[in-house]
This record gives sequence, structure tokens and C-alpha cells, in this order.
Amino acid sequence: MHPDVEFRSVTKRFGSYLAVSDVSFVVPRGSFFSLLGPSGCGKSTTLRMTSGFEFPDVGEILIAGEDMSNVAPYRRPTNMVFQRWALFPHMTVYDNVAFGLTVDRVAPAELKTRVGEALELVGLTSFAARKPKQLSGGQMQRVALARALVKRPKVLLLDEPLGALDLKLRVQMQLELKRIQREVGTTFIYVTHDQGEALTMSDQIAVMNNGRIEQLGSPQDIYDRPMTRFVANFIGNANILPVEVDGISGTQARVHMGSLSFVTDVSEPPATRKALIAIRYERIRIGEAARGLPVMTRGLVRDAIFAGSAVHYLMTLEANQAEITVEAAHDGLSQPIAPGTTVDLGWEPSATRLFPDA
Amino acid sequence: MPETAHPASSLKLAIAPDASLPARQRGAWRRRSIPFLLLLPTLLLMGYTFILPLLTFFQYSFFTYRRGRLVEEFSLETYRRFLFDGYYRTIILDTLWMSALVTIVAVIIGYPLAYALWRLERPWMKRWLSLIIFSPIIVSVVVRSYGWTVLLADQGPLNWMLLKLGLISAPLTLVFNLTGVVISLSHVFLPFIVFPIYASMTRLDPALREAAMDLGAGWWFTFRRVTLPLTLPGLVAATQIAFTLALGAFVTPAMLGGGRVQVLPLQVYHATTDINWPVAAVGGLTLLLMAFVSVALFNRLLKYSEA
Repeated sequence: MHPDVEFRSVTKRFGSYLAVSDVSFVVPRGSFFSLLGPSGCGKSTTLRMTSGFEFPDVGEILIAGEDMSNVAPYRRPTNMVFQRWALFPHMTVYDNVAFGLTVDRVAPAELKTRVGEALELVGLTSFAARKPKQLSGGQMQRVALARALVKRPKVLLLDEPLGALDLKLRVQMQLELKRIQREVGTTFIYVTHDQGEALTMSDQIAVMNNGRIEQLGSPQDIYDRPMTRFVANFIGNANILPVEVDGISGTQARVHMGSLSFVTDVSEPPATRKALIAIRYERIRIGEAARGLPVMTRGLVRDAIFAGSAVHYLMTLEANQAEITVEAAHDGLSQPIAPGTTVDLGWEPSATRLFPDA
Repeated sequence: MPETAHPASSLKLAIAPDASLPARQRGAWRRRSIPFLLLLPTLLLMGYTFILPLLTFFQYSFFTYRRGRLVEEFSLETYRRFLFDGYYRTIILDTLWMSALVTIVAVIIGYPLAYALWRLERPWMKRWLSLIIFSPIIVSVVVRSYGWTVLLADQGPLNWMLLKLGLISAPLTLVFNLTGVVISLSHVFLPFIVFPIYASMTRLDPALREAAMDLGAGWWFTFRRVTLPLTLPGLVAATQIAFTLALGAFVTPAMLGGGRVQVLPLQVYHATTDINWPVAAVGGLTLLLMAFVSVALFNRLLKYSEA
């Protein structure tokens, strides 16, 4: 069985601007695949090449095993949910959803059933007669989804579809998208700059930067084991600290910063003695919780910032005077540690990742 | 605190004439009056050149013209002639027919032209095409009309070419009849057709065409179901402008009609030279009414078709 989408060394330029550079990946059938990255990283261009609005300069794109080099957008087994939904403003919700089936000359009876099913899937049955401008953002989003899914595409492409919604609705739609994806079993390719969305919904995430895929893996892989400095920095909150490498053996290395010597996991082996480690805010334990951990040091609390479910401590490390941020879960009972206090800090060797300093 | 501590503020108070009013109220009065002050020149001009003559014409329309003289007595005679006399009815119908033809021809040429202007990617091409579309207005109406008489004449270049190509066996009569008038008027109305349509096209979200294509629609389906309905407001505006301009056209029918195109503005002109004021007045009012009715009808069309 062929994978639903396959990119083989795809490169795309706009004039002298390199939008996508030698990108290869495989999207297995029925999976939720995210392209995650900052704006201008090439994720939208990658999606538009999948839908056929752009064509690659170099490389091949295969959908269900077939080369798409000479296939126009309207002949591809893909459908797209656009960034601002792009609903036809002069048509009702029903006609918007029916559009793709009318094009295909689907028989009237079947068309009616399928549009009805699609509207039911997104919970908009009672809104069929409305015009898009009479709908809320979340409802328009659902219409766009129904309009694309009613064509039963092999691959559904979603271009930051939740970007224009407010936070509460966005979280709710994330869960709903995931539910719909499970229900219909269609392959989803989802473009977003929001790591939260990608982490919640995806089976696989491709983190993109400067037209390249920096890392491709499961959400947990990418979060817990970032393979490049960019990924460590872009996803979640990480302290990036300078260290000196004393020795590398396989996937682990002994490093020191100031007087503190410790063992760390290696993401990319650095060529020089000077290197960087990344450690997530929440992987550093503080106070009582730090005792007995393989890596232990002390730090001075300079500021405590209350953020609801957690407290962020801005601290100075005793070992090398580096400034770090520590996130401690807030239990709702205890008082945050007062600024000016010196406390114990500790972490596991796997909490830190080593990268070259460049 | 002593008064002298605020020299600036006391100075302001001394200058302001209505200092007794609260500042907020003064501001509100100014805000409300400024639009009217800005409108004043227009209102004066409209009053003197449109409303006043209209009222005078309205009055004259009830007089009669007998044996070369104006009879200032109330009568509906001229109205009766316009409504029931075959001569005037033919002129009114011819005027409407010519305007409709001009509008249709201009739209058939203008809509694809606007589409081309919209789809052109290079800015310099857009600029040149805009200039070409705009050019008929830049040229004086008299020069343009003489140009068309030469181009469309029996021995003119167009007939010569058609004869050489063997498409016709005898020269076509293209000028000094309705054909010549329609050709010339559609030519000059082109910018009035193209630019409103072009404006409505640029307002179209490009993602809509992509969405249609993504859903499987080819060019023609996308055009019929998405582009055309959404640019209809521009098209309606364009037809309104072209049709009303055609109703009032005078120089072109006079120069290129060869006396065979008897439209209402020509009648009004002849009536004024004959100092037949009642006919001129009723003719003018009829033209105005026709313009109003056509604009209203086109608006109606818009209401049925729009989102």
C-alpha cells in the first residue's frame, strides 16, 4: 500500500528566494500530519505544492503513489481548508458544501444525502440556509471543513484554519478536528505556526525552518528530544546555556559550565569545545524536589512570576552566574519562593540536550 | 494659585468668542457643521445649474408652441404628443434601442478587457493597457468622430481590408447610420465599463478562485459560479453608467448618424434652435425619466443576484 503523500527532494524557489529546500517526507495513510514552523519557513508553500497551486522546481510529489508533476489542482484527490476559509459569500452554507459535488455532476439524490451528512458531521444541519456572513468564525470554519470533506478526498489539507479564531474556540476546534479526523479516517496535513495545535492533534510533526525540515517525529519525540537547537528553542520554553565539552561518548557527553560538571544527552555532536545545552523550564526541579537528582546545583531566585497553573522563577545559577528560568507547577496552596532566596536546583541528564554553538 | 501662573490658558480664553459654552458642545457643533460647509459649493452649483433649470423646464413643459410662438397657457398638449404621437414614440424607442445596443456592445468588449487587465501580472502591462482603455476620453469628441468617419467609410481602411480578405464582396455601410454611432459610442464608453468591473474584480478574494479550483472546478465553472456573480455589482454599475451616458449622447449621433439616427437629445437640440421650448422641455424631462427608470431597474437586478 502506498503512503498517501510522499515528497522526494522537493525544492521550490520564488525568484531568488528559496522557499522550500530539498524536502522529503512520507505521510502514512489515515494519519494526522502537521507542518509546524514560523512564518516564512516554507510550510504553506509545501502545502500549496501538495494541492497543486504551486509546482516544485526540483523533486517529485506523489499522492497515493501517483506522480503529481502534471496534475492541475482540480484533478487532484486533495481538498483544502483555507486560512480565512474562502467561503463563497454569495452562496448559502448548503450551496457552499454542495459546490464540489455539483462540479462532479453527482446525482441530485446522492448530492443531497452527502451534503446532509457533511453538515451533520460538523454540526451545522440547522444552518444550511444561511449565508456565510450570518455565521460566526467557528461556524465558517466548520463550513469550510464540510465543503472540503464532502468530496471524500484522499488527503485533506488545512492551512492554519484556526488562526483567525479566539483562544477558547481554538482549543475546542482542535479537539473537534481530531474527532472528525478519527471519524472519517482521512489523511490530514495541517499547517500551523502554533506548537500547541500541532502537539495536541498530530500523529507526526515536521518542524520546518528556512525551507527545510529540521525534525520529523511524533509530538513527544519532538518535545522531549529536540534534535536541533531551533526545534528546542521553537517548541516549548527552553533555557539555552553555554557549556564546555569535556568528552563525548555516543549519545552522552560530559560537559561543564563554571564549577558545575555534569552528563548530558547529545542531539548534535559539536565540533568545538564550546557548545550549548538546552533545558526546558519545567524539567528543572527546585527546592525539596531537586534533592537526590543526578545533576544538582544551587541558584538565587531573583524574581517569581505567577502564571496561574505554574510559577516562573527567574534565577541566577551559582556555578556560572548564568540566568535561567524555572517553571514549577503551582499546587494552589503554597506560597511562591520569595526573591532573594538561594535554593537547590536539579535535573536528570536526559533533561539537557547538547548542540553546537553556531 | 495666582492667575498669572497660566498666561497661555488665559490668552486662549480671551480669544475664544463663545468661551461661555462648554468646550464639548462647541466641538460637537463644529463637527456637525463641517460636512455642510464642505457641501455648500456643490449645493449652490446644483441649485443654480440643475434644480433651477429643471423647475423652469417643468413650467415650460405645460406651455404650447403655436405658429412659431410660445403660448404661456397651461396645457398638456406636448405631453399628449410625446405619449401618443407615433413620431415621438419612434424617437423614444430608437433612443432606448441605441442605448441598449451601445451598452451591450461595450459590455461584451469591456468585461473581457477588465478581466484581462485583472489577470495581467506585469505592472507595466497593466499601466499601458489602462492608458489604451482610457485614451478615447482623452481625445476630443469631434476629432474622434471624424476619425471614425474616415476609418469606417465605404472606401476606408476597414472596408478595404475586408474586401481584400474576401470576407465581403461589396463595401459595408458602417458610417452615417446606427452602426457607426454604436461603434463610436461603445468605444468612448469603454473606460466607464472597464474600470468599475475591474475594481470589483480586484476586491475579489483570490482565495475564492483557488477554493473553486480546489473543489474541482475548471476555469469556466469557476467563472460562471464564482467570478461572475461576485463581480456583478461592478458590471451593473458599468451598465448603468454606459446606458445613461448613451441616452444623453448628442455629438456622436449628430456627426456619425448621418441624419438617420434620430435620438431624443437631437430632437431636444432642434427644438431649442427652433425656440420650441415646450418640446425641448418635455424631451429633456423624458430623458431624465428614462435615466432614472433604467438606473432603478438595474439596481433591482443587483438585488436579485447579490449575496
